[in-house]
Amino acid sequence: MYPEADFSHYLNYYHTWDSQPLVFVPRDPYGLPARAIATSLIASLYATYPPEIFYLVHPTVLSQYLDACFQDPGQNHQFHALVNAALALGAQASGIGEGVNETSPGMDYFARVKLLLTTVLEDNNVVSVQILNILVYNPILAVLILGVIPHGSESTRCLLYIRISCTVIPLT
Amino acid sequence: MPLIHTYFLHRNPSNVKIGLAIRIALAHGLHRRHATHATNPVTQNLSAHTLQNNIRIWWTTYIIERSLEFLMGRPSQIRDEDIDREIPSDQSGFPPATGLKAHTELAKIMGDIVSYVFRTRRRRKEDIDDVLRSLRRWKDRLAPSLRLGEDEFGSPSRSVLLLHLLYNQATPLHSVV
Repeated sequence: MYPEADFSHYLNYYHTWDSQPLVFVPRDPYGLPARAIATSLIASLYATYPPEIFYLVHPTVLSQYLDACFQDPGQNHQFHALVNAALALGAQASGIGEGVNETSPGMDYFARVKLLLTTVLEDNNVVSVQILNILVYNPILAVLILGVIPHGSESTRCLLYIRISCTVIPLT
Repeated sequence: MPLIHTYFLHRNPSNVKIGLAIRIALAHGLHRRHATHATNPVTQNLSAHTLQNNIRIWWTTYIIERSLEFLMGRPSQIRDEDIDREIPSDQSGFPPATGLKAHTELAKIMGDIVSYVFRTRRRRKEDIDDVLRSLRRWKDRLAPSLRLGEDEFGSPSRSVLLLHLLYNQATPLHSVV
């Protein structure tokens, strides 16, 4: 019935797997970096990720949420989740994380969002949508930049790499 | 890059999260034209800023969902015919809408690619030709600010480069057929 005796062939084809579990150090979900660092990370976020083609969160709104988190820590978990999601992207953009020996900048902030996610989903509003969008934004860029596509033969992928290279190399 | 790589290895959790985002957005009617909310006391008195904010959040969610499903080869959760949301427009206090509109159009074509090219039923050549035509039309109609310059030493913005990277990813996929 099945041409391939090993089902892993089908699993690989449909990409139902993820290669590694995410490991997080437990964090205080309402913890915040120093204000100057937070401001710098958010500046990196908007400098690096193009607001013209993706609209993740309005800069003024994010700034207001950041103020609210610093003025009244722990008061609003949604604000904390959104701010930490933005800080995670900003940390990735700038390469500045919280950990001393951190190899993946931004994971601390990401860990906080994960802790707050259950309540964020229960809140079930437009801010929840924004938080989820930011969390998913990274893999899109990764697939885009690394050029990994589940379809197609090796020759198709080679063609893809050549096309991307031809597009980008002369312009960088 | 390390964080990107870590996230890259976690496509399925990302896929689940964007599914949740779409479901929440649908629950709040973000996919529907503002006029359809006229009887809803929560949304009928939205300011122009909040309205534009919601429009852009919806289309960004749509773009992320379509792009992820396209890149992973999975069917989308919402059909285009169920969406009648206004397209983003230029408004004071927001980035220009041109880029987001072009990205939205490209995301729609990506949805068509998933539907017609990577479908379970037999592919039809005319559908694939339609998708290819849509892609060409998309590129031909790009606003001048989103085009890659003729000057190879020019420095296009990151937005323009990312948009063209996505376009280039969509185009050669058709050689799979």
